[in-house]
Amino acid sequence: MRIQSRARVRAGIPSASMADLALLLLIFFMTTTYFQVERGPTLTLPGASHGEERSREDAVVLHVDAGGSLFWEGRPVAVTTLAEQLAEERKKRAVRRVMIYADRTTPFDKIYPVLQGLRGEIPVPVVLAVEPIGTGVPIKEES
Amino acid sequence: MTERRRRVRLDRAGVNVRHSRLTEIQLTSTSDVAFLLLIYFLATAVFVSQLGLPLVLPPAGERPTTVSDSEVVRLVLDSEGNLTAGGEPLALAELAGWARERETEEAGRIYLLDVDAGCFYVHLVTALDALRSASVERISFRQGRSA
Repeated sequence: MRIQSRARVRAGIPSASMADLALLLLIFFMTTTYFQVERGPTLTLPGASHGEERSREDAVVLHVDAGGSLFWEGRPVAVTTLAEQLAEERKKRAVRRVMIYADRTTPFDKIYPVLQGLRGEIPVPVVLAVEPIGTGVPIKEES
Repeated sequence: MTERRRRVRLDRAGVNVRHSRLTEIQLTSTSDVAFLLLIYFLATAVFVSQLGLPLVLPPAGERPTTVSDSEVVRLVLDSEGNLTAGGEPLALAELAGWARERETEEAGRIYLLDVDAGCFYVHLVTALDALRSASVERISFRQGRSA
């Protein structure tokens, strides 16, 4: 007597659409990724162990080099016009914070006027950009 | 034109039994390439963020407040980056522990950093970082005279 055996169903994860999915994700990343171009002077940031991550989106980026020259989004700017420029920028777009990238060897008398200049009528959070501790180059101790 | 085409068809439909090679692009490895590119983008993509010490500056028109000496912890950073805390020399590396002790005794005091004009920015950041680690929230700094 012949017993008709039931057709065995093979269990397997269908992976036919994996390539399509990968391509779609690839297209997404290719269209949304952009290479970040760092404008401004070359700096060595100070190190800190208790820094917090802050997004650079909607932020104004200021650079202060070792000589004390100030740059607004890569363009040289006078410290005396800082408050005015910030007020104008706020009219154009939402400025959530100002990020200060200053060289570790910048003298304090070049930093202090920048902080004073940022004290507008409406306070804006300021972030002093740092490197995670241990990555900075130790400064040469003056004898 | 029509005759010529017909002739061509006839020619093709003739005895030429040779297999014509299929001309098509090999797409088998496309998914592999796509996956590799995807992994590359996933591995290299970074969110645009920066590590920093956040500060809240007082508004421009705000009048200075008068506080008593007992509420203020005075710290002095000279042009060489040497720290003096409450009149006593203190290593910057020890500031966090020192401030933590003060905060345990009495929390909420104002730490006034008197920074010399010629002091390197790195020393200010180190001091601010140490105070942050000791959970000091009220920090004030001003520019001192250069030696």
